[in-house]
Amino acid sequence: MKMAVRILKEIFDFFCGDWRVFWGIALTVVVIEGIEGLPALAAVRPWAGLIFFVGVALSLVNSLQRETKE
Amino acid sequence: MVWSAVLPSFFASTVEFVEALTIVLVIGVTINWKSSLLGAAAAALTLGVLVLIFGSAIVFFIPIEVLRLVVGIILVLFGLQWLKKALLRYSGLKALHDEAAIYEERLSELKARGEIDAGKCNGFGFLTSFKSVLLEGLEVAFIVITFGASAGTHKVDGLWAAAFGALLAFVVVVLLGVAVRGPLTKIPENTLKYIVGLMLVTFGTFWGGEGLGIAWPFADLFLLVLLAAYFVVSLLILRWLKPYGRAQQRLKPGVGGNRS
Repeated sequence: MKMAVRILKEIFDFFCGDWRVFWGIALTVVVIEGIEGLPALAAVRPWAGLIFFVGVALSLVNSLQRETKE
Repeated sequence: MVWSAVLPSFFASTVEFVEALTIVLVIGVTINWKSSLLGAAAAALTLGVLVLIFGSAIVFFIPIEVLRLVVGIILVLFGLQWLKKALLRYSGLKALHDEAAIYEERLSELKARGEIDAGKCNGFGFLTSFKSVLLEGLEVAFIVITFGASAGTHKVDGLWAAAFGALLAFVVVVLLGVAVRGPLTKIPENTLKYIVGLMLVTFGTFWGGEGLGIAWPFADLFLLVLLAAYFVVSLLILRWLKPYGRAQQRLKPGVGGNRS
């Protein structure tokens, strides 16, 4: 079990390495999926690209914010 | 030639190969060249096999639409790591990667291990060289596979183009290493890391967005708009971080033991 967790952590560290970035991007993807899939959000669809870009940028800022507090 | 696959692959590979070269040089000088070069060659072979297996699996079994979504999101995550490190180094919150210091540090560590037979292949030297080249090369392999498979409409052409970029970087770094006969301290590693980070995040956003159903205006030309936008964002972030970097350096002069 410990080994499996260690392997998963190594994989996570290789591809991402930061939970703040991970959850920021995950949330952004969910929001874009909602905008593209839900008819109620069709009006926002032309802005989906901009929202995606802002989501990525904010994920980076959120992650760097921690470095300023150390 | 798919330039969008060649360039990121070339820049990323240059950074990683410079780091790997430092370790190979240290092993060569302190233990012996046989162990060092054999370790590096074995790692290069392992990486080649990995690219071949995963590259061909991706080319033959995964549709390009699925690939772009998955690869896009992973590239964003991967690219943000590079960009974050580069911005922290530019702002002074993290120490710059100093190949000369790493070289000296490793050299004294290995010298402390005692005399070694220069003619025989040394297990420790082989493994250290193998591990370093493999670990540095894994990121290169990942970039070659993802960019190669997603950059063009023909995945095989893309893979060849990305592999060409990596090979070119390898040749350049090795030639410079032979010419300098020491660690490559003049290569602006952080700038390269910053450029690669921007490229990875830009392509990742573009492909990930396409996979999620976003129709980018002006098709592929929008990549340039995204690149410019991320560049501006990174400059704003740097402006925000610099005072923190200066404050940290005032509190702890010579900050940044962590060079990873």
